[in-house]
Amino acid sequence: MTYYGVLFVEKCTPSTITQLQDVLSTDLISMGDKWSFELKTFRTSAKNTDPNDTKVMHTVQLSHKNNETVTIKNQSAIITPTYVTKALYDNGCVFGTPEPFDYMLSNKLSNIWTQRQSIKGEFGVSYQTADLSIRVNNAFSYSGFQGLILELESKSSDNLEAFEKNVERVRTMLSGMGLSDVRVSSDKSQGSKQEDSSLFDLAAHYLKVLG
Amino acid sequence: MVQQLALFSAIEDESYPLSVETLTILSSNRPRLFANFNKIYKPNPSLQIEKVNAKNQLVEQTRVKLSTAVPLSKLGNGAELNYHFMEKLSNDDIESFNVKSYIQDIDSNNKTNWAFQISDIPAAGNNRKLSSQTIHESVIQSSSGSVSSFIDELGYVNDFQYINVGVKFQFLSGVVMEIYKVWQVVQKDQEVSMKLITKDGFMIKAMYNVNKSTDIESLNNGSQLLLKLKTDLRDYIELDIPDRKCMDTRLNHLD
Repeated sequence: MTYYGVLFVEKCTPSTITQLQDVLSTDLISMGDKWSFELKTFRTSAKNTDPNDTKVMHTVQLSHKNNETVTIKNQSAIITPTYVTKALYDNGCVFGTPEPFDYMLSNKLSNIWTQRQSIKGEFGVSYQTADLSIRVNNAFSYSGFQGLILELESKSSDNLEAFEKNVERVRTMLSGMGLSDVRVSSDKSQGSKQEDSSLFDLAAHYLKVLG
Repeated sequence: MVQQLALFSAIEDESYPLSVETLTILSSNRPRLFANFNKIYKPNPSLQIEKVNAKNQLVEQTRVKLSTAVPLSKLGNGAELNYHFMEKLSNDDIESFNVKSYIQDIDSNNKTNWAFQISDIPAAGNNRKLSSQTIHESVIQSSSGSVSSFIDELGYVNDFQYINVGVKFQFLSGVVMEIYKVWQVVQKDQEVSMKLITKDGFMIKAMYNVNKSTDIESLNNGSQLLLKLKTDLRDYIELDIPDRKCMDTRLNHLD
């Protein structure tokens, strides 16, 4: 079982990412691919929605998860891949290249949904340590630099307890760098058996620390 | 996004075997039996939705179509099926198909793949020889919570649903032809019933899909292929351009 956690460091600078690499370098086994993420926030423009209900919907895209779009509102979420599944194509349910769902929202559904915000990070770095896969990126919104984002992924052989310890170790390391203002969201339960559920959970972590 | 060129026609039940034979030869491909379950949603009427978006652009309220492939094993209750299966389907019910249990299964299965489509009204013009329609599509691979509840959160409610069953011919040229029947699926309380809409006959659709609406070369090529097919089948299957109003997915287009 693979576990995920996402950390967001607010009070730092765009160069913190290089300091972090120096600190990590002693643990480093290898460097991985560049990666990017984007979180978009949409707000409903319908006037008379239930006042107790949230008015926002979010989409999350991660390059290391095949850029599949996770769209989340309340407890409901869907995953839309960038490819067509065979049965749908063979049966004529889909004819061509599918579009990311955020495009559908801001294009065809723009009378109900208006994009309000986008937080994204590009050319992030990924590291392999003995315990974790760590992806680090600078998060920017329209108004500028927002902070440093860290995505932690456990080894598939690890149990939840071991993962939680590793998350704590990263937090300690960040405190050692003087970064104590950290928002954390990480897997808390053993999780269900569904393979896709991990992407739903991961997207929810991004949403929790950035949203 | 896909730009779909299409021509339509209809045949009577008796013409089916010969049509299949003809199209098998023309397409040099075997007929492929298919069945799809389609749910049509409309914007929730209780929501006050503006006609313009935040950029002050006019955005019409359109229906959304969700469709998924019905496994042939479900359709034939385990039996191996081929195109002859269609010859027995002239009633409101499909005997071998338990629609109620199928719909229950699909509603509770979060791993069902759904196509999510929004279609624009086909291009206007008096001299058009074929329908040209832009279709925006996404694929829903899985959901957390049911897909229905997500569509509900999106601001849409179910309008109607139908099943189409038929055979499909893939031409080497890229043209696709379908011969199919349509059943409306009515859910009332706990009961699910089907009603054959295409009584005594089949719908025929010939289409050519182009991935980019700016790809003029492919669009011209597709037009020529479809019009040649129309000429080849003349006096036998009369392929024609449909009334674009019938293909309009906007909510209040009949007002």
